[in-house]
Amino acid sequence: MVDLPLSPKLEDNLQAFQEIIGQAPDLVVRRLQLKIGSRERAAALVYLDRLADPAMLGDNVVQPLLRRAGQMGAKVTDGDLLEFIERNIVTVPGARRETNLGRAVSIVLRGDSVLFVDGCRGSLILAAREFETRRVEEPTLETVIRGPKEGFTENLNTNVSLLRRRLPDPRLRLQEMKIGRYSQTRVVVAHIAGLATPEMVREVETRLSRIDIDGVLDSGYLEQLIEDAPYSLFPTIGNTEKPDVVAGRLLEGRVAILVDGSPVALTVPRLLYETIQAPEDYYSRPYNSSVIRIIRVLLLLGSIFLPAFYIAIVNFHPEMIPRTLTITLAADREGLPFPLALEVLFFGLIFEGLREAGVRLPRPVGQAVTIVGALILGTAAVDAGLVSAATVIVTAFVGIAGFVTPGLTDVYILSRLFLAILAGVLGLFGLVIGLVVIVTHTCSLRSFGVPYTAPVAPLDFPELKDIFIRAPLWTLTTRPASVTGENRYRMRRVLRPAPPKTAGEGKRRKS
Amino acid sequence: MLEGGKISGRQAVYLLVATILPSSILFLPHLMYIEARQDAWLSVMLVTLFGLAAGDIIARLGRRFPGQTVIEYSQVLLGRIPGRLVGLTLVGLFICLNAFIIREFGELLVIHFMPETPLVVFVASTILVAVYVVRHGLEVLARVNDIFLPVVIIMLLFLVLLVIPELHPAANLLPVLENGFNPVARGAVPAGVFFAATFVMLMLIPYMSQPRQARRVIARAVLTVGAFQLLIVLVVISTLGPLTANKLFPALILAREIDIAAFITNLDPLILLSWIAGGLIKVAVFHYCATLATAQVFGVRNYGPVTVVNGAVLGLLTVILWEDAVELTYQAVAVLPYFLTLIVGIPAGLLLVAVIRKKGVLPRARR
Repeated sequence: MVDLPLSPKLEDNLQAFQEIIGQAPDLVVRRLQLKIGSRERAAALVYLDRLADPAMLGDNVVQPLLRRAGQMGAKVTDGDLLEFIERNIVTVPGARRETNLGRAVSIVLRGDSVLFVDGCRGSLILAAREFETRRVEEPTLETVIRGPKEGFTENLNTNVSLLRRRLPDPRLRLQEMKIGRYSQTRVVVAHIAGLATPEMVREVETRLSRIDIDGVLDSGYLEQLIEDAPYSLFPTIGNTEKPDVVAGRLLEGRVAILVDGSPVALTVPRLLYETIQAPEDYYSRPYNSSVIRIIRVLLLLGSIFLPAFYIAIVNFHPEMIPRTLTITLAADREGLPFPLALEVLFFGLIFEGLREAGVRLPRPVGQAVTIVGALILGTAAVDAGLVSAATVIVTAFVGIAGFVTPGLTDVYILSRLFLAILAGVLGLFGLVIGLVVIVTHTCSLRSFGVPYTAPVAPLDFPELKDIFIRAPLWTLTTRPASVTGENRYRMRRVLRPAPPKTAGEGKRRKS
Repeated sequence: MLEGGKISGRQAVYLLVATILPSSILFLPHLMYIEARQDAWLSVMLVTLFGLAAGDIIARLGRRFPGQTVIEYSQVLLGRIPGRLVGLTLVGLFICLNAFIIREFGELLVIHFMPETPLVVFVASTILVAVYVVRHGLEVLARVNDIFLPVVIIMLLFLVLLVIPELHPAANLLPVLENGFNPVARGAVPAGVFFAATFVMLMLIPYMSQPRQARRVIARAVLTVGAFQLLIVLVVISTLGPLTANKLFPALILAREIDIAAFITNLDPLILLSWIAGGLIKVAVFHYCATLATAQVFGVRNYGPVTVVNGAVLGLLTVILWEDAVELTYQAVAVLPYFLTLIVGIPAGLLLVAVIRKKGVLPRARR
């Protein structure tokens, strides 16, 4: 930013302004001639087309200036002039004075307008922004059947308002900072005072303030620059598109990071168990949610371990397979050219390719690709005697299982590969070796000081009521111990609903 | 300090159980049955009492020297050079016992599952994993165990549950004390080495968040292991009967017996899998103790490189110490009692010296 005081001469200011900003086709300089008392005074309103709202500026700035400037008596001096205009004439909600040209330029670049008046050593900043943004829509990644369907947008102010509307409490604290040399991205760190520990909030702010980068185009940039384990496959920072999820996590004592221009908010600390949770778990009754959670765990494990398990069993321990199935499998594998491990790896790659094609292509074509790929390619490969049917089933299952818990996308491909190779060489023993290595690695992670695998390891038995199952809401009286500080209780102890006591059948109820 | 982490009392119990249980389930029923026959379950009770006593000595030492490992206080008690010699002996014990365990698991895998794979492969990969785990420190080791131990226990109970139809307790467990009490005592000797594995607490007590709980922690662990061991020995003997003497790994044979609707059969690889995971924890705990002890004896600041050096020594010993599985089993019976003397003798001797020389925090002074 250029540090330059404003000059009292209008033309000097305008020229300096033009020099800083260069040839800008969207720059609008609206010259005005103000009648002040008996004298005439030149002024200029500067703004960027398509960022500022011309209608609002016309109604609330230009019109009052031209019509009512005459009200000013001769007694208004040059020094008071801007203050008088700010207090008595313009009618935009946000207005303040600014004496530094560099700051005035950067404010104009953000969409506000600036008014220069000849003879005044200063300028007036007028907030009248209006630019195209996406409206609040249902998030594309996290869809729910029951529960709020609003999602964050690219506009930080909208996002903050979505959050405020859910938590209209003065203890919701929002700390704003700007990150990015060129992008000057506004970043808001949100927490609830008294729930998030001060150390956690300070740590988040320290890590963010360390960042010195040219631009922050999405919250993904920040995630990669502040995460605990940059080399790990496991994500240590959570993300969500849903304001209700952010509100829920803030109420657990977590800290959220909202980034202007990104519809995805970050939340920390992020623990492994969040992978198997979905917002809907809390909005519907507990039984289905609990079963679904267990299914998610099984599918998550299956997605990582099944290919390796399949390779190990078929190659090294066929005696474990039920007898009838062994015969079918053996017949199936008769005459296949590739070793099993290679077959699984190869088909896994094809599946990932299909998935990527389905995402990148336009939606109708994408679906066609997936169907053609999955059905025709799979069947043809089996018919042609290239792969066994079982391999196709395993690969398809594993791929679908991965979609159930999308939070670990990074983990799936590489750990599958790692385990499949180990199992191909050492059988089940190799699988155990790989398992111990992966578990050790996960256990060694921390997210903002909290053990990543908590509360399973270190084991905290009472806390498991909201991990593999989702206990009834009225039993979840405490916030997660690993995250929250002192303020543990989130509801009154006895909230279990019960029907009112009524008189027995046939008797009249006392009134 | 070398190790910055702290573990809770519960984690210490879990670690101890994982250190003793998986390998003792695999190897003990056979070793005990050779001596005590159908009274092996009485040997288990006997050895549990012994484990409690041996653990008590360790807990007392830990109380006398808060915040210190055995390597540190043996130097306080005996002077620098003799203290270090005791420390080196302990390092040797940790490494040799670990080599024994790794070799046992290695032979088991070679014999039962992958006869064409050379032993070295299993030994090397086991030790590499142990080194990897240990480098992350005690806290991570305890957390990893928090995940694996429940799996091991669940698999064990699962096995017992599925084997119930095959039980013949009356035929196989009677008569009690057929040959008097001596065989029972002899059967307890090989088990003693496993139950005395609580001596890893000599190294771990100072890293507990509440070292005062050490006695309770050891007692709980020994009783838990004793209970499970009793269960498995009873189940093994009442299922297999005299066959137990012929099978090196009777608990595994048990898993093979499982046959549910001719669909779930031959679950032994799966059961073994969980025990191998538990065994890896045991190896890691021993390797951790050996590494920490080595680092403290030689005054090394950072134990990272020591894990690798120790791991290499461990791998070498595991491969060259024994010719084959037969020699291994023979030694288990013949040499381990001497090890047992050392494992119990060193802490007992240290405690004796501490009492006589009135070193450390005196029990009475604490109150």
